[in-house]
Amino acid sequence: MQRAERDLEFSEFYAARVRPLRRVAYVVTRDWHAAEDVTQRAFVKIYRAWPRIERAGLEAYARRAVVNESLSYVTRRPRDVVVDTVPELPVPETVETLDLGAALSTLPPQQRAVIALRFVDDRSVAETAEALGIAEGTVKSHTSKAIATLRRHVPTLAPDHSMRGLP
Amino acid sequence: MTERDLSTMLRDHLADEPQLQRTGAEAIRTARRQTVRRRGLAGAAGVLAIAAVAAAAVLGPGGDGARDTPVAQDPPTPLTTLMESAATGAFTPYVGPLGDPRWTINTVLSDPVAAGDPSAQRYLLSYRPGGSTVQVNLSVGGYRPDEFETYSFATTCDYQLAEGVVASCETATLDDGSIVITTVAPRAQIGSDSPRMLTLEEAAKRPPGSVVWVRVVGLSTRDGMAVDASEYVRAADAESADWQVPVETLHALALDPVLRTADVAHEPVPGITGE
Repeated sequence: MQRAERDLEFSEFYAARVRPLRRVAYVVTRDWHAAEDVTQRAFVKIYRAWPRIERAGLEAYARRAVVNESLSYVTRRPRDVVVDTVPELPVPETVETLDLGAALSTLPPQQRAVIALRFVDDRSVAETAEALGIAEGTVKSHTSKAIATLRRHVPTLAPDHSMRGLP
Repeated sequence: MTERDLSTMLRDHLADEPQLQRTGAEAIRTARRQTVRRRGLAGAAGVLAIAAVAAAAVLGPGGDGARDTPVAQDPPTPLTTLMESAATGAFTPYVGPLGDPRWTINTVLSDPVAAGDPSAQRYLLSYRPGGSTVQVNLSVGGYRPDEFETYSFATTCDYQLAEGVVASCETATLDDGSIVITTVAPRAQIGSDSPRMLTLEEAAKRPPGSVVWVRVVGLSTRDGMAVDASEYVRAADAESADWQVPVETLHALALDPVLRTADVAHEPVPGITGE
């Protein structure tokens, strides 16, 4: 493939996918700057691998690259340089009410990645499993646990919220 | 709560996302730099492998030298070669043989430097093919990306038209925020490396034959790249200029993805950014 043709194809793909993938990265990293960095790093790798990537699998490749970079960032980052105000801990004994962003921060990184792919990037269970390299059953279980955690922290997400007449 | 509710809440949560700061062109440039570095390392490893094979040959049998044979690596193509190739391909069909290339390569302070020097910020390639086309130029330069706003490219045409230094000026904004400006303007002293800008009034007063007209298509990207493609012809006024190179060709050359991702310096311009 000629370099000009490759650059043009890549540029078009970049323009179409960078924003949605940065949103996914943000949900995982909880930091827009980090999200942009990891997304860009993923696209650099995509460009280098461009001639070897089958076009039918390009989307999945890009998702996997961004999610891997995001999870890598979160797991390598010192825990005291964090995100919003809530430390990444298991679900606390006493449940406090949080906004959605803070509630997301209480989820383990891989659950955030599942939530991001399923509900921000609108991916199926199978596509999410492929991007994360995990079983579809694990995706379902992560989804279920993540939603349960979010419901505990965000009253408006609770199933009976509207019946209780809360604002 | 349904999954759709969660999806809606997440989208609301992400609604105030900041503007993108990076571009695809930056990703391409970074990838190429990484490739060049890796090739350099691979080349160094190849040299070591050759030394190992040579040593094995000297020391006699017993080693498996064939496995160490280095793989040939393509060196990165110099920007000067890329520009000459692009210019030749674009201009030759319209103006004929271009003749020898003339290079002007400068730092941000306009000091001349060698091609490939890390401080080289502007590469100007000129040809003087003869015939009715006096000169064709292709330039590739860098500027600090945050100077994109400082330069006010979007209002360049308004300014130049108001100053009376262009016969026509059109601005177009591309999807990625880059700006393409197409101008037609009079110049004098075309034989020098610094053609003099004239007002339309000055051009009209000059003796016939002392004014040339330039048509320039210039691209300015948000990641700090400037690529200009231009043709100079001798004419009494803009209307009678007999352009040989179609403006579409100049446009395609200025937007050549290879050129807009070239590796040039991006130092701030003193006096504009205060540095």
